[in-house]
Amino acid sequence: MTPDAGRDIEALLPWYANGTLDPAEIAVVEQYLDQYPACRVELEQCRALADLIETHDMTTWQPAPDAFDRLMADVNQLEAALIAAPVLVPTRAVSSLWQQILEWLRHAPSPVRWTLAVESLAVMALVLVVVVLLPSPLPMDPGYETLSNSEKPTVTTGQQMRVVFDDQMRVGELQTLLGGIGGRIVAGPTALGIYTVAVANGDSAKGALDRAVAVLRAHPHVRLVEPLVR
Amino acid sequence: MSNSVIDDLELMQAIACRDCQAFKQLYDRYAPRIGSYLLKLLKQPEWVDEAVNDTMLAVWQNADRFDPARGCLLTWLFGIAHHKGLKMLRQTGRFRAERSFDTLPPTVLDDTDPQENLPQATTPHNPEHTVLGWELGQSLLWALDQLSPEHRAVIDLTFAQDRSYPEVATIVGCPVNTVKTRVFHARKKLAYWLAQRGHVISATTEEVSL
Repeated sequence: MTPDAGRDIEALLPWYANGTLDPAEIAVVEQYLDQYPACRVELEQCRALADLIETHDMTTWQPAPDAFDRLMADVNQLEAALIAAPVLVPTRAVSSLWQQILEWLRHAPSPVRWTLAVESLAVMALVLVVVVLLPSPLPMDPGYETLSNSEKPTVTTGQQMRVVFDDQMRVGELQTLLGGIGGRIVAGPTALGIYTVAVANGDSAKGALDRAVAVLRAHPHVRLVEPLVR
Repeated sequence: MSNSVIDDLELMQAIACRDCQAFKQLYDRYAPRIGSYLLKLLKQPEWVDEAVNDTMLAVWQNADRFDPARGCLLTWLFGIAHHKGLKMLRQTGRFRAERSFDTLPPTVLDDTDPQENLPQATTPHNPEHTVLGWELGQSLLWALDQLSPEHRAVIDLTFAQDRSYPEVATIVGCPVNTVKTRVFHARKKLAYWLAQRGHVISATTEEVSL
């Protein structure tokens, strides 16, 4: 055995002592200990340190009685901030840019403005000619559909909920269930098996969501349903 | 969600679905253990409340990111807590100070006279020192305090929390070989600091030389 290999095995001793090595590693370590009994001293020191820490390091922490309440206050504040967060509107930046252009035009000399106006008209006329004269696109084969070419766009603006199904849920059953509530899966599953389901906005979006939640909760293969606050 | 005992996976699924009762169950189940770990890492009880709070808040926000295929819940929680703890140490400027203290002359690896470089023990040395007892406990706590947060973390996770080395690597966010090296050096330093106070780490005899 090379010295490096020996060092690698000796480096495993703390975890041999705490019992977390896998069987193959345990076999390697035990073989090594049989070959080099002197290393047992190192192992005994690991075990002694573990015992020492277990016996004497009594550092413990317990939460204050109101700790969880304070935590939930922070959680609520966080959730409220998420709801109140202003939606980024890109048109604001666009309008700002448009205003800048108008401002620039306002201060531009008259010949420059006339030149730009004529050029703009020429470009618009060219676009019109191209659109009118070009042949219409080939009709799409109605029998062919890609996954990204579904008839209805994915519902992303409706009320959403997080749902966990159990292992017994079948695809057909799921389709029927979602069809019944007018819902679509818009995200998931996550590593935890959570799906985000959206129901389309109707006259009473909240009512639709409540009904969907009730229907899903009543289903035997739905384990969890929680509406998402938006 | 009912109050019955549910497994970690169900708990995390429920939390990801914003179930406050499940969150409470998780808090009751793991906060004391997370807090005890953070207390050893931070050494300042007044910071632990905040660090536990930050950890649990991160759990609430990221519950749906927990992937049971990549490790158990406790490892995931320790990882978040470790990150929050180190962040707090950095923010308070203690991380660098402790680190420099821990990396004082590599006393256990060279021939330097230890008495020249190390803080003196506050208790008189005695060859017949009692190995077990209150004094040893105090010396151990003192020796652990001398370690850097990184060394203290790997020692605690390995010897107190009984985590495997891949789990320790996941928690502290470094390669497994780094974990092995850190544990090796931390053990040697602990043995050395304890020896300075007249204690020898050995399960069977006090004569074992470190």
